[in-house]
Amino acid sequence: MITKLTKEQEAKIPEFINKWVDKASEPIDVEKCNKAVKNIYKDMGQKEPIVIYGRSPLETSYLAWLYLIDHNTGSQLRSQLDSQLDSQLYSQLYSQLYSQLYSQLDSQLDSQLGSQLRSQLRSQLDSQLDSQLDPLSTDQQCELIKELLPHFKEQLQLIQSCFYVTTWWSAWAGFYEFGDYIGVKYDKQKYNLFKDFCEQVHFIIPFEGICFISDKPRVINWNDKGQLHSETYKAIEYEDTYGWTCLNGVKVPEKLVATPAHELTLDYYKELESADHRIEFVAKYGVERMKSLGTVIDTYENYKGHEYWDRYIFGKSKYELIDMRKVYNDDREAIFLGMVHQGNGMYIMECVGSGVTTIKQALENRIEEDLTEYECADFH
Amino acid sequence: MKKKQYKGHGEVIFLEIDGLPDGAKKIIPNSSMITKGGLIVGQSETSGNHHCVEMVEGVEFYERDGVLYMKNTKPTKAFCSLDRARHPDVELEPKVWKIKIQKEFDLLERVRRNVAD
Repeated sequence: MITKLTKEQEAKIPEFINKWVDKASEPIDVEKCNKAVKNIYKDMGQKEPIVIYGRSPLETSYLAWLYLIDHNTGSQLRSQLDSQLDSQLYSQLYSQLYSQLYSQLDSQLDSQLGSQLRSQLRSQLDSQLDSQLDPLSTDQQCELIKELLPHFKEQLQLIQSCFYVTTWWSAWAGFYEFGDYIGVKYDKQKYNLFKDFCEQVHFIIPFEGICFISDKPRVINWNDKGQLHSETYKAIEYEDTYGWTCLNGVKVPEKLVATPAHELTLDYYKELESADHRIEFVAKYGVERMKSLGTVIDTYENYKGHEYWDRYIFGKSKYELIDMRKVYNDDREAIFLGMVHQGNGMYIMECVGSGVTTIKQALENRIEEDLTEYECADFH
Repeated sequence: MKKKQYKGHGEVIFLEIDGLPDGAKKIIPNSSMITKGGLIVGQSETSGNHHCVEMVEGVEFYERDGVLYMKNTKPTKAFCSLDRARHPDVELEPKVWKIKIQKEFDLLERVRRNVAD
């Protein structure tokens, strides 16, 4: 039993991580992919499927949708495929390796790429029917809705319930491949079946006799923390230009990425509803530039040695109360609390409204509680 | 006098209180309220990276007047459902907690609303 890695083996871990992260944007080898898919179908006791390729998960979903509309229904194999992959390998690689290798791969491949793809695609498929019907007149909509909508919806729901993003398994494949390298013994046939499938298939909609597979992204941009990130274009892009924009792992509106920093405006800042999007705005716009537009009314620096310093983590959060009324056309409510985000260390400014003149009041205003009897014990 | 504690996990604030308020009703969570083994206490509409509390034995949730409460007789923690690096976990010792979402003023809509991720 292997209980400890040699220094040489440990030094190889980043190589395996990089290899599997790079594979996420490596083009599919159609011949190998067909073979891997057919082998896994065979292993599930299913007949050899026809394999249809799309250039992106969205295009692939449309292809599957058309197929379902034409064929009325399809018997989906998602859960069977999931159990099949699950049953391929199980090994007791020790916990150190889990945290060093698997968690890194999982955080990039599945927590970042996989989860964003799932949520992006689900919301796009959700809005698909509406956007297709929008250009039609109300009368036309009525006719269509009567005849087709229930049918289309049923097929679309089937696609939503059975598309399968395999990034989670790719992270495991990297883990198992390292296990193979250090000498862990697997059932070779099962290992190869699993690894070949994970190497090629990134997105699949499996039915009896047919499956739809998307090509992998053409481009994936990561920052040095392994987060999806591109300051100039989409962080993920597929061959048909399907993709989305991200800054520091956060999916953000395309406008925030596409607009040069010097052209960003505070009116646009007002439009951003998500705190995460605003953090990215401030980072791009420039913290000092943003603060310089207003007047600091109260600052954490006034409280050095004061009981509030530790009690309300003034020093850690670097709170500042900033009057931004002059840049918001004398809007009396434009009083902002600036602070260091306790999760990611970035700076954020949030509007607290009028009637607030101290940082403590601003904190109480945000929580809607009197904090006199409280102290902050932890904040992330 | 010993101060009570409050803890923050992003926009979600946990305030230690002496006991559950009168009339608080126990919540029986349904599947839409749960993800990754935790009750969603702060929805993230944009990223899906919800703030959750681990539902281990000894953790119960209550509601009164739209405010969420938690009584835990065993330690639990607040965590992010997708990207745990975004907000590291926050330990929640056995206590009764009032759970609130921080508010901000929306300059466009002219209303106070929950801070959203």
